Amino acid sequence: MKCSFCGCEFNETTAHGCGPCPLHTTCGKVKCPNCGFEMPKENLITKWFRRRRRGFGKGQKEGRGLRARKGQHRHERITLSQLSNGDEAVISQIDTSDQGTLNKIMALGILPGIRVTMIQRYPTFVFQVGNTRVTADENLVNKILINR
Amino acid sequence: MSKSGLPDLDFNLQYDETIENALDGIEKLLKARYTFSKRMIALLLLQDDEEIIKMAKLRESNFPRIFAIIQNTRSKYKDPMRYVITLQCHQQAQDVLSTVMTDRKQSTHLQSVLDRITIQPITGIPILLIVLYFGLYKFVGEFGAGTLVDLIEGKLFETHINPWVNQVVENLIPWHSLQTLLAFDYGIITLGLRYAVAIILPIVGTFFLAFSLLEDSGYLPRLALLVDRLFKKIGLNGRAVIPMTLGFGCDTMATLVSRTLETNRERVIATLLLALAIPCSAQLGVILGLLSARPLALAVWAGFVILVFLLVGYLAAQVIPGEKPAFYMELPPLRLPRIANILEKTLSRMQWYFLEIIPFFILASVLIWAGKITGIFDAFIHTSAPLMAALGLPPQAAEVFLFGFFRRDYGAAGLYDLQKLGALSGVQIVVAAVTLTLFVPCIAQFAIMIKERGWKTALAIAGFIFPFAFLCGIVLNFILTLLGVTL
Repeated sequence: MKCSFCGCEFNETTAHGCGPCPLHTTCGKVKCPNCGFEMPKENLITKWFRRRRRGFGKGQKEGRGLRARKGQHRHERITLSQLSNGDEAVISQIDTSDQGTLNKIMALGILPGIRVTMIQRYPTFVFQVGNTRVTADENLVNKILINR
Repeated sequence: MSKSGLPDLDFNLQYDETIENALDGIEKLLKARYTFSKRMIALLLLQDDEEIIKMAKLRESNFPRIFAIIQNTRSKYKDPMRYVITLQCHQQAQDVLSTVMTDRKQSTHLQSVLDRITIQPITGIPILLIVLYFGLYKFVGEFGAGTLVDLIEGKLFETHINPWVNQVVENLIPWHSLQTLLAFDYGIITLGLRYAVAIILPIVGTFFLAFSLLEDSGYLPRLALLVDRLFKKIGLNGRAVIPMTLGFGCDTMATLVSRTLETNRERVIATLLLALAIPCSAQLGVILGLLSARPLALAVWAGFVILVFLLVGYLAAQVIPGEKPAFYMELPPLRLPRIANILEKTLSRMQWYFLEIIPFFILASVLIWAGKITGIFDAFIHTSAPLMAALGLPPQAAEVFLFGFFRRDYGAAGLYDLQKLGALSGVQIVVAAVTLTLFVPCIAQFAIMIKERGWKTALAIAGFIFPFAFLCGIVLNFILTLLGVTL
């Protein structure tokens, strides 16, 4: 989603509020990672409208798999967590900002250039990477960037 | 690969020019002897391997120059060196593989259906419950803790071994106090060894058998992924399902197994929850027997204990500092386990467990003996009468709690005796059962807690559980009496 204060585009699933607060995942707000501004999460209706406006409605089959747009915003990061069930993609990059998570991802053999297929998103992500099947939580899946 | 199909011994993995230059530079500066090649050491140094850097710092006089090369190389890439090197390595592996391997899909229909239904929540959770019911409750709880224990303890020990030991000890040793140390009600042989061989061995044996079957079939990672979301709420990750289910077999063993968890924070939370709210199979068996005649009482007990489990887990996750848990696992295909593997695994685990646990049972019977002889137990039971009154229980119940520490099910069995005498009402039984479930782990578990987590953590956990269990009992008693419930 887009921050209403500074205009930064970010992935709302990773931008929970303030770490130590017990309500941080349930308070219904997201915090912009760029400016720290807190705003309510996008609700289903506005999300639906936004997606329609951007040409995600009927007849646009190729766009259905990804929950984010491609093309217009080239710098927007598409992560594995945005891939729908049954869809395939190629890993483009691994987010190297967190060394610990990076090591875990590499230890599982998840590296750029490998094809991934999403098998299940809930309750925990399950996906096929090359010949192995991996289950991982949102935090780890969000560090894996993909190309369609 | 060479053309002959044999491995090509001249194959050389080449990285890009910058890395190769850095490796050359570091290799030339390395002077000490290592157990593996200098190129390997140089590669690990470039990748910031903590252990190798520490080692090189001590051994290499040229370390500042080596470090300068590392820094210089690192500055040329925007990603961490470990990532860059892994990527290049992977690329070359792919190149080799692509010349010799083709992919082919192979998975039978039944397998893929089973694969799918065990990971989807709608079908997976009922399957999980069925597996736990038959694998854990029926096989370990009823067959292991019921049938086998009755057979070995009731038939073998009570009627043959114990009377014989008692007689031999009575004839050979003239002093009464030494007699009671070895034999009779609380002796090392008649209590300590009997518990280890007749109660723990069949329970743990059946448990390890069921567990090995689950493990070899590839089901455990599926179990872990189904519960990960719930476990995250209590500060653990899906992997912790393994020690937690083990806890229903024996909490002592489960506390040992909690060392497989990744962070210290998770280990502490798991240890706390195991000690507090997970009843072991011996205790579970007796409590189920005690409450099964009153289904409503059983529901109150289960509901209250689950509530405490989730609440304490949630609070612990908020209070205990440290890294948030991460969940990632490879999901192996479901396979038919091999009997030989399972038997071997079960036997070696039983042996390991048995040797680890026997000293603690001997220690427990020595402590009970000392407590009885010195009169400390009687004094304790006498002074705790007001506490029992606050729980709405008769004073004799204090003995149940005291022995509950030495063995959880022993305490529950004492409760069983009290109930048979008709000394307790439904509410009293529930309150006593809840308090006993939450109350301090048995002495063996406590000893393992000290061994695994250290004195401070173990004492802190026990110091929290002791008042908390009684507080929960008092609150439950208060609520039930206030509502005027009869169970």
